[in-house]
Amino acid sequence: MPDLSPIYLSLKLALLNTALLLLVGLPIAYWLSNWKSKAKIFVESLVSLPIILPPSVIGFYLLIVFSPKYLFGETLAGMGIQIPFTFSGILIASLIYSFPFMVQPIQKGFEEIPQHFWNISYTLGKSKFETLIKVIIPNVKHAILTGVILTFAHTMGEFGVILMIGGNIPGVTKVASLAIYSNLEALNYEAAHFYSIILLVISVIIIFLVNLLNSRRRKNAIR
Amino acid sequence: MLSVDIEKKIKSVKGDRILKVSGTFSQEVISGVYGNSGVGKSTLFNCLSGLSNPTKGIITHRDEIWFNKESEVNIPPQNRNIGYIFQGNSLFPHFTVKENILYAVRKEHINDLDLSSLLSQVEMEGMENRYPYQLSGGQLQRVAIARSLAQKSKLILMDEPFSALDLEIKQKLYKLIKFFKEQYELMILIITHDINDILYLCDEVLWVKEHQADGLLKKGVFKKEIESKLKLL
Repeated sequence: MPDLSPIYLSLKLALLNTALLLLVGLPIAYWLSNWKSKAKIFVESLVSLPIILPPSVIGFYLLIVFSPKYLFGETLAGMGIQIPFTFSGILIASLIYSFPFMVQPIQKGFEEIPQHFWNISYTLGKSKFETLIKVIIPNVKHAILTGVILTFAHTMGEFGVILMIGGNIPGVTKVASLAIYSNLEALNYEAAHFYSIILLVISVIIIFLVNLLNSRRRKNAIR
Repeated sequence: MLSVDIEKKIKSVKGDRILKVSGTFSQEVISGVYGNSGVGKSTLFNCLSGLSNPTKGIITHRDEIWFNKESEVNIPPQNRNIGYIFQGNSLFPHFTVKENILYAVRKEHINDLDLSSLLSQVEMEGMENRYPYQLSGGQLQRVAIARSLAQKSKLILMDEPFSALDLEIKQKLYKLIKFFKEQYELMILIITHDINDILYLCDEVLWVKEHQADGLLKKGVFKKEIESKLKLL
């Protein structure tokens, strides 16, 4: 039986990353959906950047930023905080790398809400906050779920950026995708297959869930 | 009584226009707001409800000033207690009929609400657990009316409530609106571009022509004006 710690580590990373990004991404997506400024296109481009940026580039710059040779990393090191080659390091890298996968679908969901939902709620005596919580967010739930599923899936499969910032330390930063790579290098195909099949099953389930959500959404739209 | 004397800049494909409206809507009658598409009828309703602010002018409901640009008075829509029935479907899709109605009830009125009696008045008994997508156009409008009643609004704005409804359902709604106006002493304003809606339902009409309206016409006067216009065609 191969070591299960890479699977646990991948799940832990994906769950933590998804939860944190949901907390941060939801208000940012809401703000972006309402923000009317010429600068919006630049901020949106920045949010989308991790989608096209090679993971090695993100990893490389994160290593620079957190290196004790430079000011920020030095300050952190002075406080006894080490980021590269730790679980915190791969979590920070994942947060940056998966950011658009959470923000973009939720932002689109907010943008699709008709203005009259807000207006009706206001004339019914409800505040902006109450409208947001009781009317708007429930009607964006498909988009939120899509963001959650995509972020989780993306984190489960992360490789390059984790290898760069986390190395491949067993029990600390060696996630499932790195375990496949290590076992392949060591010609240990059985273990590589074991990790691969688990990731494959998780991916199939996730794709099925995304398609199920989309088909339900389309059905509701037709209604 | 609802008095309006406002100007509002509106944007259209043909460029910016100024909507100028003045008039006094009588209490406890059904008033129509008539005019072609794009003349600013819905913009007027948005100004009355507080969802949009006039560029200048005054709006007064009974003795309360709702909007006065000069003295910077602007009562928010939440405090005007208007039942606003929007064009098309104005129910929330994630709520059932019951939840849509309950959402409109203020905390202090929650114990007064008799939901089954209200639903029976709008002929929707037994449908409280249905979602809006499970209702027809006429049923959606009836629930929206029930919601305004549950809200305890004395002023109801209806923006094209009969569009896309067939004649039979339309006539049912006409009767219902007339009944509620009498029963609850409501002041009802209805936007329409259908002359029949005005002639059947309304006692007075604000006719918005080319983004302007000055005073309300009695139904008889409106009818004569319409007839003379039709003769010219």
